[in-house]
Amino acid sequence: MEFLIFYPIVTLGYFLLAQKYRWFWLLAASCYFYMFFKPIYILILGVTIVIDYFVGVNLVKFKGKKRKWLLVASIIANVGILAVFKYYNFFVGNVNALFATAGMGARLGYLNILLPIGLSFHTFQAMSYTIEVYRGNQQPEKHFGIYALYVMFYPQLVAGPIERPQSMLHQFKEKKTFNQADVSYGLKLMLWGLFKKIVVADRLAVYVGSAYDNYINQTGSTLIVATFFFAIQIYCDFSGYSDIARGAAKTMGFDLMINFRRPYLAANITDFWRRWHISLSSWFKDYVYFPLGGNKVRLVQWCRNILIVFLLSGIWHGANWTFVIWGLIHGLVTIAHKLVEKFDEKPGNVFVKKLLLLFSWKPLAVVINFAIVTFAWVFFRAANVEQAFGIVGKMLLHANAPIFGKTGAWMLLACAGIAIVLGADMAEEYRLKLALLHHSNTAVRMASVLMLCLGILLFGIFRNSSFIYFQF
Amino acid sequence: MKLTFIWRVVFLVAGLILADRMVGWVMHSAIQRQRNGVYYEFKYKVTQAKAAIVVLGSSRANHHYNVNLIEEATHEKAMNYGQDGTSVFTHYILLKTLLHWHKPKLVVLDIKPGDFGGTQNFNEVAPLYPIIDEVAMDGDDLNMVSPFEKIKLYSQCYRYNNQVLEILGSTRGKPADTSAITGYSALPVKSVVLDNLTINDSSFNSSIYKYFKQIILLCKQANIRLIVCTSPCYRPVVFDRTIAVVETECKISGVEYINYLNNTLLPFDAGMFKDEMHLNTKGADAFTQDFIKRLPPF
Repeated sequence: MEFLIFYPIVTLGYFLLAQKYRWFWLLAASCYFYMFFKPIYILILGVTIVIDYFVGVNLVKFKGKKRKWLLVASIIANVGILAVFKYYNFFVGNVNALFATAGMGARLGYLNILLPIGLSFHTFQAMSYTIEVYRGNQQPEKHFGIYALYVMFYPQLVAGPIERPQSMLHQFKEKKTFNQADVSYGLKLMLWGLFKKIVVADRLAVYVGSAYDNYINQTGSTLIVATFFFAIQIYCDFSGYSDIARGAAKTMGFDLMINFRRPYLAANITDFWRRWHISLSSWFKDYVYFPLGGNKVRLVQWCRNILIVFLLSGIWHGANWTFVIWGLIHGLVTIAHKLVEKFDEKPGNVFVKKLLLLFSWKPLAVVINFAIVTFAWVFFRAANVEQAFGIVGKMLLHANAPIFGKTGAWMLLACAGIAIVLGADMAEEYRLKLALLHHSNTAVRMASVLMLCLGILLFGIFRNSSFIYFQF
Repeated sequence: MKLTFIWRVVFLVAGLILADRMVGWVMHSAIQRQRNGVYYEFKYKVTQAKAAIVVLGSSRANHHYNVNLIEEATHEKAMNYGQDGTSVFTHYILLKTLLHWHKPKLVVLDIKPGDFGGTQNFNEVAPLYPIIDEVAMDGDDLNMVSPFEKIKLYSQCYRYNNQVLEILGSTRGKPADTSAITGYSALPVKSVVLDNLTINDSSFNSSIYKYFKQIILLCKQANIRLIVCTSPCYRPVVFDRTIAVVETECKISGVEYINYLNNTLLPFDAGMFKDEMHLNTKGADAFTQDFIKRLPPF
């Protein structure tokens, strides 16, 4: 609700101000936005901004090894902050457990700190700047304020999309004029994002929370339903946030990258990662996978590269073994898929080829891929490894049992919400003319906006719940 | 900027306000035409039951006070308003709404250990909006729910948030038998394993406590007798800040307080409980019988 007051003030102020003051206005608004969560942590962001700004400026002044060392220093500073705030306590916990297993009395102390909101997102965005400047793909930004705004731009500050300097920095210097098409598109995108978050994700979260937090007393079938609901919940939550971020930026004339492209309609895991959290997967592809050699190496190294990327992606999400296992599952499934693809290219066993053809039938492939991705979400959602395996065990061994149900009306609304979101995705995927919010007929567009507004008011869950990805 | 864009925005806002009012009107009419269901019963209890003895509290009040036994003993109409997962804040709002419709002779307020502790989501009162829409909560109360609750309630739709299907569904079917509405809901007798971990809770939230004092004040102003009671729980209580504060406040305000915690005189053994905090129907009857003995004569 606070955002509904903050956003119009910032947008209106942006258009009312002269171009030369706009960067300052946006930067001040972004600082205020960040400080709303925990004011003191703006200092951490400030430190990384200052370091990366000076590294960027000096990268073009030096040559050879000095440039490399400068880049390494910037990466160490960024990763170091991430390591201290996000991974230190996880590391200490594991070391202490090792000591205890070995019968040693030694104990490392924990840090009593909270994770700064969106730390992983803005750290990665800052790192992409220094790497791109080092590679010569981006000129260093000399205007400190514009650079700070690139890292801090409020719509994408706390949960992405993780932008590249090439696509963002120039936008802050362009003169943006009030464009009704942009404003209309942006507002509709925000409304759709809000619907996905408040009406669908937050409703499903109630069921998922009660099932997962008390999994011992739940049946396997209840946990299967809860895991399916979580798959939809996390999609609506995160893509809802991305839509709101893109919409808020679009109303001011800024284009943020598309972060989700109907991921649950992917026919295989590789396709899924081209559609899910695109800004992160492309970051890992550009800055980890390709530098490791990508697929232009021997098969074993290729598999290693894939595994490294997914393990890093897992640990990026959170300091917990559950995220590592989640990454591992995705890595192994991706490797399996790549190997099958390679096998498919070679002439061979006709029966196996026919079997592969059957599984490549799109509807079946989509369902199988969705089932694999949903299974992996168990590890993403579970509080710890023990809980995750407990849930998997129940799902496998006690699936033939009654399902815990909320009221009929609750279930009806939950299913209707899922149908609307997945239906909209399918309409977009297969280019059916059902994009009601962007329909050519004005009356249809307006009626759709009204219906969405009423839907949010009547069926939204107003409990001040945060977005899942804010914690990363 | 074209003028048509501004007109479109004006039309959209006007359309939204109109649609909001229309849906609000439809829902308001549906509330009047309810024939059965949870909301019908609640609305009946608040606006028409006019009970002389009123029981307020959370799920423990709902499952512990058998108002049929109270009616038999006192020959006065009694009604149970206990609601699952509610706090003293909701009890206060409910009492305020009740007083708008009629004045009971006795209010029984059930307080459980830890009621004034921890953080409280005052949004719990939102499901009552369709019932209390005639008696708007004042600004301070709404601020407790959320700083923007007053703004949200300008929408006629919002007050029916997440209740639409239940309310519309209750306009069909057989009319409910109002004589059977008591609000009391008995919990079944089942053999369960109970843990007897002790309660030792020193948490305290002054904003919740404030509403306990408001209830006392409201009853005093309306000249209604108030009894505060803590019904039995299976776990032994070593210390509970809520109970300590209630004891002191009741003493200061001259309000009768009955505490069944750690009560060894009555046979509240495991067979009387559904879980550690809730009596089953057998336990509820035994407790109500004892509680009746402590009621003042009417």
